[in-house]
Amino acid sequence: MNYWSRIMSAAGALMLVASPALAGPEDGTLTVALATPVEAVDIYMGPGPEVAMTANAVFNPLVAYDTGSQSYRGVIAESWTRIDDETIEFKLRPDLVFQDGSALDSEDVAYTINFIANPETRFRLKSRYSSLVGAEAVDPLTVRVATRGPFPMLMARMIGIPIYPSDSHSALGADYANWGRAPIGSGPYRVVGFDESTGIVMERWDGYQLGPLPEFKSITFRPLPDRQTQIAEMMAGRLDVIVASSPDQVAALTSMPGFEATIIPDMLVQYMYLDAAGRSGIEFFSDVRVRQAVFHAIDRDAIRNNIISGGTAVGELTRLCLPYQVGCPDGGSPLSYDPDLARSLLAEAGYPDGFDLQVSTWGPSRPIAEAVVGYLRAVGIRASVDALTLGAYRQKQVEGGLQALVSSYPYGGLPDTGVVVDFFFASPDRDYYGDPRLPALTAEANSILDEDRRAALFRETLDLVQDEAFILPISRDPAVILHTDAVSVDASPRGDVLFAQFSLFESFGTTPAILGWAD
Amino acid sequence: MLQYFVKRLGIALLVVLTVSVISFGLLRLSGDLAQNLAGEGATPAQVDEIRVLYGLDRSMIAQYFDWAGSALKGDLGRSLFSNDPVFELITHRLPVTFTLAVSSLLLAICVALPLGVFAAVYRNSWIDRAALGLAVFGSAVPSFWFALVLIYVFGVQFRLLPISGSTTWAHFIMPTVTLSTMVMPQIMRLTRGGMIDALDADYVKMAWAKGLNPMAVFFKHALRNALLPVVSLAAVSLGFLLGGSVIVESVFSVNGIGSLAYESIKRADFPVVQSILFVLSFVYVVLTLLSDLINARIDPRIRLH
Repeated sequence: MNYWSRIMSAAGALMLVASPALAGPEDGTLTVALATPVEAVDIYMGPGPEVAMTANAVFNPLVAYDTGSQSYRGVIAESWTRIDDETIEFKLRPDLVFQDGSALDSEDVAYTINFIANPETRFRLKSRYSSLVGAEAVDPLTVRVATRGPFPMLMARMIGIPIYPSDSHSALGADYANWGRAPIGSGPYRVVGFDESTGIVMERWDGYQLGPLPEFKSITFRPLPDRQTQIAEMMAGRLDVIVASSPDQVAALTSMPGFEATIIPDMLVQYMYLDAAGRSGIEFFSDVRVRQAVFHAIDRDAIRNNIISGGTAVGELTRLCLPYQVGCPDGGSPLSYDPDLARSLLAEAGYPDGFDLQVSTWGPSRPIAEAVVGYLRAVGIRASVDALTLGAYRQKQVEGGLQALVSSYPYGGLPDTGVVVDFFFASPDRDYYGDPRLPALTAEANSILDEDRRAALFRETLDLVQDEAFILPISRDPAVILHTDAVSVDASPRGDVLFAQFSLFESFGTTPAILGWAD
Repeated sequence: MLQYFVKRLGIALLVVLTVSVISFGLLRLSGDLAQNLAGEGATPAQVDEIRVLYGLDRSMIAQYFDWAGSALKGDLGRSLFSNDPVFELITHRLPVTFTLAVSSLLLAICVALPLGVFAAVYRNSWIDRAALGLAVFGSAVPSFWFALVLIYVFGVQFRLLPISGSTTWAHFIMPTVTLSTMVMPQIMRLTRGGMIDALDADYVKMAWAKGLNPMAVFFKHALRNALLPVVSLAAVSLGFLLGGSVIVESVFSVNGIGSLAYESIKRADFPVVQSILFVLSFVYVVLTLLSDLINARIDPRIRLH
């Protein structure tokens, strides 16, 4: 064998090692990138978009939300009745089973709810479930869920509570954190492989009872934290789907043949608020004209169309809430982009030369904060970006150090305007508005069950926010699914999709999953 | 020698202790952990509940002593996110990072040593200038950029090598090449400098005068002495590579300590970050101690200082 033959042989051997069987419709396997490694397919232990995406393929909740009719529909539950102000009784579908063949009944539902409500159970974001007192199995198909006082958002909360099999989960005892490495659910996919290095392998569960069987025979979720590496893997044919994080990433792939980007409306909302209460020591935002000037200075359309990935496909956000959230009032007209008016308002308020301003931000909102700062500087406000980590931002917020904030919130994927007002106005930490009407309206709306009264209170709250220029809803931030042309993405309005990234592999009732193979 | 060893060991332990105290303090000051755990939407009461549940309501000193006491017994606590024992997380990932660091160091030595020797022997020749150019390139080029270039050429265009992961030896090729460029320049330049000094020394001139063959002069007399500082540098470089692979591991999705540190820092998983810093500083100090001892063994004058 001569020199070059040896070289070519070595290269050939390397290629064999380097090129695992390519994913695709031929073998029915879909390969999806995970920007953050999933340590357990367990939404309670590790709440996050990637965990939700994988967990929702394996587990089912009691109910789902139909955004079209703006009402709840049963998944594991068949029907439900309010027993009193603090209790709802759910009737379960008969003959349901988990992936291990064990029966799914009220004991499992009660066990799951009592597990997350238990004060001794340790997991992140436990406060999400603090309104739950517990649950009680009445008979094999009936379970009662009790709340701490009247809790109008119970149904909304239930869509994010996957049900675990009581026997298998309780057998782990104190090692419940390991559940997500070999979980057993009732969803369309079951986990057959879990490795932190290579990722998660799921296979279609042919016994799935609660919706159409998915098209993918198996799914491999690969941990690929670096965005450039994701693109490279997709170009090399070893990846089928990426959830895009920036317009650059979308542009890099869609400029090449064989790759597509599909935009799906999502629940993430970008917003800005100002320290109207003067907690940070600045006084200028106590004048509504200055707050209006800041909001008039910002071109929300340009930010949506140029900075937000997939922003061109979503309409203007006119309220902080989303139209399909229960109780979200229609209308709403945020202050329009008018830099001349912004300058005149500043001059009228006594700030013709502007002022120094720190615009705090964290995480994925940073590019938007940078754009906002640019617009503010254009009208004479000497703004700068104060980029923080989540922990530092929360500490600064609690200590009253924020002068202005650009941030985002997905409302926990919950379809109720109560979540919106609760997030912004219930906690004194976040009260940078200094208007006692806002927490009072919120407290009332979230402690009564009368939906009409709640809707009226939401309208009053959000009109007040708009009139007083307390918060600027900047834009919705949709999910952009980057995929090969072998994959189809159903971006049409759907009944059950609230947070699209979470729901890529869900299929309930007659609605198939968002992702499938292209014809 | 024993006195010297005890003295160096004492200093090493003090360094580890100092690193653990400073890193513990800095991590706690970088944000409120209870706020992080409770999430953005939590009320102050809910945050306080979390603070009590995780023992974060105690003083920072009490928390440190708790952690340090457990660490001395081998218990580094549990991840706040996965609830896994941190010791297991680290021992599971350390072999991957160790493999990457050692292979990078070996590659760097294999390239830098001969290049440094040739650059010294053929001083101011094209070989010397090429070696200098390589050193400047290695020092100046950001590792993430070099990694992306390798990925594009060998992973995307020619599809010769896997782009991400750490399951086969082929997965380590590109990360090893990338990481080795971070230490190669220093080893090469130190070898070259040491060789130039050695070649100008009287004992080498004497070797030439005795009519020894060039290979014996270069390798037996000159290189042997020139290698003393290189041994120290290699030991310290290994520590640097173990701790400095964060970006490279992230780009190539290598499941080692670096990527664990990156993920843990992103989500403020303090027990994991704290323990990684502790373990890496410990390894670094041990390697430095070893290199001190080797040098002291080779050169007795060091023991007198």
